Amino acid sequence: MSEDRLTQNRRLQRELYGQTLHDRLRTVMALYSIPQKRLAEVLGVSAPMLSQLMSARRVKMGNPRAHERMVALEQRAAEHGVAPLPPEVATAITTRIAAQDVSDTTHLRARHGADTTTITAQELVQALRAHVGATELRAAREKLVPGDPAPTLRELLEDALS
Amino acid sequence: MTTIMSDVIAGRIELLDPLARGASGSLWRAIDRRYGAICAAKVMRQRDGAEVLRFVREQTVGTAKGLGEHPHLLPPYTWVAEDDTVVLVMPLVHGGTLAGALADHGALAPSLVAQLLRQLLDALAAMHESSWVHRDVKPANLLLDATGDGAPHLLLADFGIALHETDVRLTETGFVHGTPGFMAPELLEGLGTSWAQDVWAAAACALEALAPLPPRERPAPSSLPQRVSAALAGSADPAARPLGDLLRAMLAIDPDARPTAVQARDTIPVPSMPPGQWSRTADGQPFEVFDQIDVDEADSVLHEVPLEGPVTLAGLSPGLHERLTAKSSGASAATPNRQPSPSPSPQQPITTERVVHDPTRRNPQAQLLHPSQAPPAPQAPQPSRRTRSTTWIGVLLLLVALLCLAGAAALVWAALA
Repeated sequence: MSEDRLTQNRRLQRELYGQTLHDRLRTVMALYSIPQKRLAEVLGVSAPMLSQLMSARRVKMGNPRAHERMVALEQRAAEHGVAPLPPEVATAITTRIAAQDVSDTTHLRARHGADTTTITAQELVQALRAHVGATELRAAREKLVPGDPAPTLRELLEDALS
Repeated sequence: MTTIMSDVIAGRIELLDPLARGASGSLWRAIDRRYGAICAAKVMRQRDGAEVLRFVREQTVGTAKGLGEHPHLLPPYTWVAEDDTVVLVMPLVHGGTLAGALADHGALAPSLVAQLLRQLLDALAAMHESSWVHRDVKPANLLLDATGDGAPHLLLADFGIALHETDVRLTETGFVHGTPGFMAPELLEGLGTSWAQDVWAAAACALEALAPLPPRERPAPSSLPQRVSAALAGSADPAARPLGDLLRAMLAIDPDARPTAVQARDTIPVPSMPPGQWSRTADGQPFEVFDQIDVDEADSVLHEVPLEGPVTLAGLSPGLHERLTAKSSGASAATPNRQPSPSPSPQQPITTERVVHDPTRRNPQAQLLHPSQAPPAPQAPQPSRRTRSTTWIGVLLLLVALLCLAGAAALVWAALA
């Protein structure tokens, strides 16, 4: 790919993502002290695809969930306010964010008529943490406090915030 | 199975590194020592392997050509067994799965989805013609050759729960085989298995490629036709409208109302334009299938088992039956297995070979092995490593003795002359 094309791709990435994906993802890797291979696993994209994005041979993250996970990694790091994160915190966060796809692997057997979509409250809380920022969770909880119209949901949000 | 220096199963399959872990076993990059070539090896427990062994055994029976020669089917080309472990051996496909490609690219363009669907339906048509139902058609079982930005090439794999229509055992009561989200509605109602469920699942895969869902979202099967319409609404892609009509027909609640795989395949035209025109993601980015296997070891010099199977490869060592025949007739019992790799393991004499069944050999005796009894002979007592090395020392001593004799004879002859 020509240098002109790469320059143009970097410009497009700055328009889309504020900075090039190289710079933005390097920052994430430094915050969590993880290599590029692990970052690919956590984002849920293949290592070759991440390499294409970071070298600007490809402009856009095609999978919106990979983008969400990148934002979640940044937000969780910002909440802790230290850089780089302590190793155990970094591992806990990356494991939680990366774990979301594990349930997608084969279930070779499912009982007749059984609800195959059951998830536990804990999984729900983790999903809320990973997909929704703390500010939004807090705002939602505050709306639910007066009169307590939805106590279960409020508790879930509180769990996610704790 | 741990990654110690060398894991060689049945003296033939050398496991190199793990690629993936699934519900029924783990997938490895491996060396098939028979051909000295890189392959993929799925390591399973005996009980999980029973169905697929039946498929492997029977797929070459009764047809002039095995299903393995189909360009879009990737059945194991052989299997080996040792103790309670069964290993299915197939060519290594480098581009990952359709599920992985969707994680990389997000939604795909209708024209690209149509072509992928065409290839999948072609594979299913061949299976159904031989009276097989795959039963687990889903994006994670659709492999892609590493074609870069060329025309993508899809291969249907993982025949772990494939079922022959003549098979009356069907499923255990109370259970249904398949993967949630890709199971036809009649299965959830407890109705029987038929080719129509593969057609439904193929359409569900196509819809997933058009509009990927988060992992845990599995909408009711009856809602899929509406989701097809929603996913294609407003698309400027010329393939969108015919694809929508086809997918809605394939997703009919009534299995009898669905088109066959052949009928469905033939509604999709073969592309007339170069792949750059149609192999794109939903937002117009080029679709690329990367090589997902990173190899940085010395064994990268080995060639690979080609996608159409090892038929074109010259075997490094003779097949088991040839060797057994040779051994039983008393000839050349000491022919050692040639080792293709510079692995530090000791050379395995042929006595370590256990069950090796290779349908590509077309050896009539091989068909006698029944998977349900694999390994068939309850392991004639295996010589231990020590007795084997003793045998070797014996052979060596014998050779030395022969040499001495020859030398003595030469000396005598020289003295006499």
